[in-house]
Amino acid sequence: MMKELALAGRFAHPLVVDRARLDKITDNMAAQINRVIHGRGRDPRSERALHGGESADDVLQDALIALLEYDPSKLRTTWEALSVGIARKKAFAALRRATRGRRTRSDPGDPDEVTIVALDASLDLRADASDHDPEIAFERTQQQLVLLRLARERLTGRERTVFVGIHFEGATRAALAEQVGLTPQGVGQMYVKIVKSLYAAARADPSFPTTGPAEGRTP
Amino acid sequence: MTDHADPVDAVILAFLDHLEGGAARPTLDHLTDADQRRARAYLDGLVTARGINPHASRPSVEALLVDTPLAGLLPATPANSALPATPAEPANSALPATPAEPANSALPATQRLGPVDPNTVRQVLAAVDDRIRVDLDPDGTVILSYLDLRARFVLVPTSAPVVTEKVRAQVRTVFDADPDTGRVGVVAARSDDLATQMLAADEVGQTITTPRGEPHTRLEPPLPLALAARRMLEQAAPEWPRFDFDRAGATALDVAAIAAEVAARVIRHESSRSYRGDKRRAYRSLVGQEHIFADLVARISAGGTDVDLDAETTRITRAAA
Repeated sequence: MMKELALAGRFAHPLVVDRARLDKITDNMAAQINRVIHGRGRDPRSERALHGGESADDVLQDALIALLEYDPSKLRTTWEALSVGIARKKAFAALRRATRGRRTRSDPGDPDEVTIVALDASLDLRADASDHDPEIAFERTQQQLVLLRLARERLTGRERTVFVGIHFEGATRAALAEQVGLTPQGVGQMYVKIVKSLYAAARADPSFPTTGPAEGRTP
Repeated sequence: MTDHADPVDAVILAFLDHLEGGAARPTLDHLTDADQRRARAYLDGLVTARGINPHASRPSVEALLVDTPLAGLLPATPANSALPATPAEPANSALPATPAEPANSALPATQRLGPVDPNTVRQVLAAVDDRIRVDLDPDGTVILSYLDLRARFVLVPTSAPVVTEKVRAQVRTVFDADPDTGRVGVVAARSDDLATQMLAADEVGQTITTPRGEPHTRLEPPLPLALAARRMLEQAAPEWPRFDFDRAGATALDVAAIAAEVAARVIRHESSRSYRGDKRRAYRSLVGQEHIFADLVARISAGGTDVDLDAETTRITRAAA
């Protein structure tokens, strides 16, 4: 009987009722988790392995369950902000599990000579303003997800290489210049033009969030 | 204000310099309030974006909740399935994430049978190669046999042949039930091209995690059923073109020409290396003189001549140096 009541309560969960919102929050949680696990200086060619083969999707599953099991009556913030907190907490816990007890340097002459660098040692975890305010973090991440969608929809292959390379993958302009046949300065100019046009298109997109603090919004 | 005169452009470019490690973070003090807000939006966006994988995809919410206490939380969407006993793919998978496979257990068994059944798999496999034999096993798997190679193909009701824990368990059962089985193909019944993941027994056993935290095996890429079967056959039972030894042996080798070619290749390679002194001079001067070695080899291979190969080689190289 209690189980049935609990299940009935979950069906009334606001995120279960509003599927579009749940999908958006899940997208955002996936991005937050990847950001913690892979860091901002992510190498697109590699993926960090978590303990026991745990993947970012496993962490996302944990986070989603924790979010849906959260009692709505105890909610003191928005579901979006709560999701950011849960996602980051789960991701950091997974990272801690991954690096627990590992050596940073192999011993000379050790027959099992392997060099393992603690994952958190290579992460760029410097905080920015959004790290302290989950609502801002959610909104800014959501904005970038919209920009990414618009980039896929609107940009040519060459433009997408430049925008995605610089904006998301952290590629240098010099590296991209060889790929697209421009000078590094030309790549920079192209990026500026693209990013401004994408923001202009995003502002007209209903899914582009602009409810946060003034500095997070574009006019 | 035109784009060319937009002071925010210079700030964005200066921020890129900063991110690339060559400059200090630009200040916004020289900008108007409105431009400062615009610049902050661009720069903050750039910082936020750096943590987002633009190529990532995530499993659907339904897939994430499969096999969890919340599995029944979301309303199920009716869909067809060939093997209702196999669940949809969960979040952790060795293959790229794919869209969710909705729950369908509420459907009657007659409605769950989709357009793809084991007989379809059998027909596709039978067309792959004339040498193979394809049979339908009573347990629902399709058996492909060729000499001592036996592979079994199982259908899973998914759009991609994701190797989940449940699929691993199912495949392990197949291997255990028939020890002669060398490969098991997991066929995604809902994929357009019957995407298939071929698996060996050691790939579905308990994974040994290496110190780097990576699985010790790498799965083959999923392929359409016919291609997956053909690839397996080419690896297990390759076909070699006919070779007529009698006819091939009738053609005499031009030893001198082969020797000249080998000598030219060696001299070209060695003369391009950064040797110094006599060695450098010797190799440089031998360029274009490959025929000397070819003649030497021809003399030796002709027989009847008592040639001291070491002495001849030393003489040639000393003369060159």
